[in-house]
Amino acid sequence: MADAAAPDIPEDLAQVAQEKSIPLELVRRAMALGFPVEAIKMQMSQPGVTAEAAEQFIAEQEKIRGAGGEISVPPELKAIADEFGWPEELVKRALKLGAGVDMLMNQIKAGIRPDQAERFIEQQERAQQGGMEAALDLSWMKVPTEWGIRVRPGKKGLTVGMINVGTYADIPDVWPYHTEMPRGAYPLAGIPTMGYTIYEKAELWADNCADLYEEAIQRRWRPATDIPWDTVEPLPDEIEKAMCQVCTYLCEKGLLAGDVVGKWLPEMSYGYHEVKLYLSTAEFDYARQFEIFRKRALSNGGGMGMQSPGYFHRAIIDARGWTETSAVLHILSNSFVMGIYQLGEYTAHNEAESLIYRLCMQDVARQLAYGVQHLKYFLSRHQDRRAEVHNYLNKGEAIFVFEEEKDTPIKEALIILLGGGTSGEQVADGMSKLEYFRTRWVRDYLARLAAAGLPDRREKIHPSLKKYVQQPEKTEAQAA
Amino acid sequence: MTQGATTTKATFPSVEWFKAISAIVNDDPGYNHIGTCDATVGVRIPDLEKNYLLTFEAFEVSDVREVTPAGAEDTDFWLEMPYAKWKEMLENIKQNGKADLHHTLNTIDLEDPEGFARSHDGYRRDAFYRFNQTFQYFFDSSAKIDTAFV
Amino acid sequence: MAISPDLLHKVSTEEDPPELDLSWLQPREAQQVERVRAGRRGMTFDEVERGREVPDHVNAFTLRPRDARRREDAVRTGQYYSDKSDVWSENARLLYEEAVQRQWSSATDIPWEKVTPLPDDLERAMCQLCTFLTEVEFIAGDAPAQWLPKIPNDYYETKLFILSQIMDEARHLDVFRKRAFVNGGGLLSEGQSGPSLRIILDAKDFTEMSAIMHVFAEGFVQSLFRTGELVSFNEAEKAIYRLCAQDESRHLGFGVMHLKYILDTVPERREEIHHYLDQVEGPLSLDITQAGASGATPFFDEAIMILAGGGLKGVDKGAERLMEVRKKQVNEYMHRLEVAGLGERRDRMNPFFRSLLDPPRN
Repeated sequence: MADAAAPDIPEDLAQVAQEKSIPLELVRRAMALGFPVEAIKMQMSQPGVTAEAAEQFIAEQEKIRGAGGEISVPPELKAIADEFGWPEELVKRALKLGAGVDMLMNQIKAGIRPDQAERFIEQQERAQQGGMEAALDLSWMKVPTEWGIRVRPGKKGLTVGMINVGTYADIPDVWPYHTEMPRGAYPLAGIPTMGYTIYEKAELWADNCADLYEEAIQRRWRPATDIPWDTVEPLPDEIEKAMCQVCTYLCEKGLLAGDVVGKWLPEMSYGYHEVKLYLSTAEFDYARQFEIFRKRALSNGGGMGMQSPGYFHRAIIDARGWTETSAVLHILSNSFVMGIYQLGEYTAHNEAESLIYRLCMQDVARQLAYGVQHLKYFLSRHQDRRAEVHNYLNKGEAIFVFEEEKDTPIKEALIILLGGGTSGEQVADGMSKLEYFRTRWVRDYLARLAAAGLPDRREKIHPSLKKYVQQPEKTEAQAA
Repeated sequence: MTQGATTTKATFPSVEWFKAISAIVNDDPGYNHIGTCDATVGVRIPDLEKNYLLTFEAFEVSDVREVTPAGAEDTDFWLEMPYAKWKEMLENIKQNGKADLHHTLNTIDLEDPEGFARSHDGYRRDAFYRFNQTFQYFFDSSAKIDTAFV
Repeated sequence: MAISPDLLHKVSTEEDPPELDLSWLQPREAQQVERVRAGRRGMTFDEVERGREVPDHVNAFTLRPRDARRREDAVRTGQYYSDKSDVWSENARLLYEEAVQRQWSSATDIPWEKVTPLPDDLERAMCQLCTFLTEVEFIAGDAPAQWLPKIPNDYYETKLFILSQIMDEARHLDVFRKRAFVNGGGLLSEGQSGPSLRIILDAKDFTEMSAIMHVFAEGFVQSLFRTGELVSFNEAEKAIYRLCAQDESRHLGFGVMHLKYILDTVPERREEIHHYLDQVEGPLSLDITQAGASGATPFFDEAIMILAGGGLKGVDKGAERLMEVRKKQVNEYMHRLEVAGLGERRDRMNPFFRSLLDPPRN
């Protein structure tokens, strides 16, 4: 095209015009109106731009703009602007930027306020003078955060723990920001608080939480498809009912834990995201706990059993601090839940149940691991609060024992499963086994607390549980 | 687990036996699918005075070695029972293609008052539960080899 | 193998074990259900709940799961919503099962090795975007989490869905943080989204939270993820955005269907819901319609413009792309509201948004 060589139209602009089938004459008229080359190019590049639309726009602009470049506001636009309190000068600036009359009228009528419009117009004017680049702030590009981090995946892929490098690995004892700012980013002034209440690392931290997060994701499983449901066969009625009572108990426990952790998540400040991440996986585990046991209860002719009395739920719900919650939920309650899973696997009647309980064991073991490591961290920073933690456990154990006495259905269900039925002999066998398992649960519970830094719990444990505590064997010297 | 063609023979207990099982699981997508496992596990057969250390790392069993009793106990947890019971468990696995309901690791653990899985640390012992399916899969995979017993 | 009888004898404390009560398993008292076999999708809730009713109204004061037998002596554990309409979404069950099936790992499911060095302006823009996303994503974990103790266990489907969402949001927080650290970059500036996100936390009602978070905010993020996929520089980034968009679709799906359910069953709440949307459209509208420094989150805008324009030199083109994204966000938002039954929102939408709306479809 010969016209493309015309000196007043840059080659790249001419090329865009050609691609859009817009006559070069129109482009010249636009340039004569004072529109910058880049702006014309941008307008022409918009999807749906046609020669007709361009002609209409240019003609309108020629009508608006006088020979000296002064802008006149069409009467219909002026009427609308007056009605909505838009100063004429502002309208002129918008028109000068190339705003269409109809579009401008629509925006004014839509309720956009003059002050809102002015900020936008100012920005567009700056952009028109030096291109959009000149209008940018870009201060975020120069903030003094650590730059140049290049972490490569390892054997377990790219894990949360691996990206804690350089200054990003500094996890302060107190997180000073009340916003959602990620740890290691550069803070801005003036951002409102998000209302977190936990800002001290000792109140929520556990050294294993980044690993537990990744582990939970890697070891995820799917109740609908990972369990050999076809191996579940009809069971004697009392066994099925006992199984369903245990399922009901575990369903309730799952949703309780989901509620409790859900209540605490928004209290935890962003500086300790590893904890929030791990607890999110625990939330998902609680959902799966409910899912698997409801499905088991409803799939083999039994149905849901009886609800719990709920006393022990309250011991967990009523906790006023996260460490108290975690000690009672993650260590005390979950030691018992772990015991039920072990017992469930032990008494499983088919491959499905055996696998269900083994997989659930893995999930609750992560929660125990978080609980133990959190308590250990807390006590290492707050030696003076050991007695307080013992008091939480005193209360939790007392209510736990009370609940056990009151919750006849779960106790009897376990006896039936362990004894294999309801005959006198089976009941006696079931009761003996339940006593035997209690010694193990108490042993494991105390071992976890000892690992967390409370080896003296074995002396302070609730009297009703103390009978299950195995005494260390005496040495020969002591015996003598 | 379905039992494939038997190609490997090894004697239990021996480093070769554990390495043979490790080679099977390290190449098994089913094992990989269970997820990562990071744990050091001791194996003790006191009446034979045999002790081993298995290292589970990410998606594989990365090391197997014979160690002293103290070496086997210097782990997250160790699995300990008399030789006859080890043999019973492995024969059951071979017979069924995997442990039947009475020979799973957890069941064996519960039936022993001292526990099959033992540890000096209540926290580290929980690795037995945290990665239970990995360990079960590991021993179940012994169905894929011909085990000779000493 | 078995537990030693001697040992069991030793731990037995009762010479004559007492009679068991067993009232809880008497046929008259205990529930009986049909046996269920797994379907094509396995043992899903649709299979086990087939034919079972979900009550429209419950008197929930305890954690009793739906269909479990009530204990008259159970202690109260909280105050819960009593109407199904307050929390229900017809697709919650399906979405939860989908979430379980479609979980992914940011550690191993992203081909991180495909991330290759970028020019400094692009890497900085990418890291600013990642800083923004890792910052804002978990608000969608914290906000629904605080509603869990208010949802009765009778409507457990909603609880399970919310629990799966919390997991999803954790992964989003995590994956964008990881992206910031793999390619020679790091985190940059805190974003400016706090005021608009506070509105989600401030919600005083589940439906309010869901409308402004699931339908409005996550809808906008969903459009952003789709754009992110478009402007990605490598397979790793594409995978991140695709997988995140998949998760976000579930959250949106829940919100739209919850809104529809409440509008269908409690139509008198229509005006109230408009008010919540008025609130949330307000602060974010500046952001959505104005590219660059006049928006509510200019750092985010600038990063997107640079990424979409292929670098600082291309920000003019990037600004156009940003406007296209915003137009898309607003139109998709409007479409979802129409699906939920709130079509009249078109006429009362924030003017900035309205100026971006396409004409209504017939």
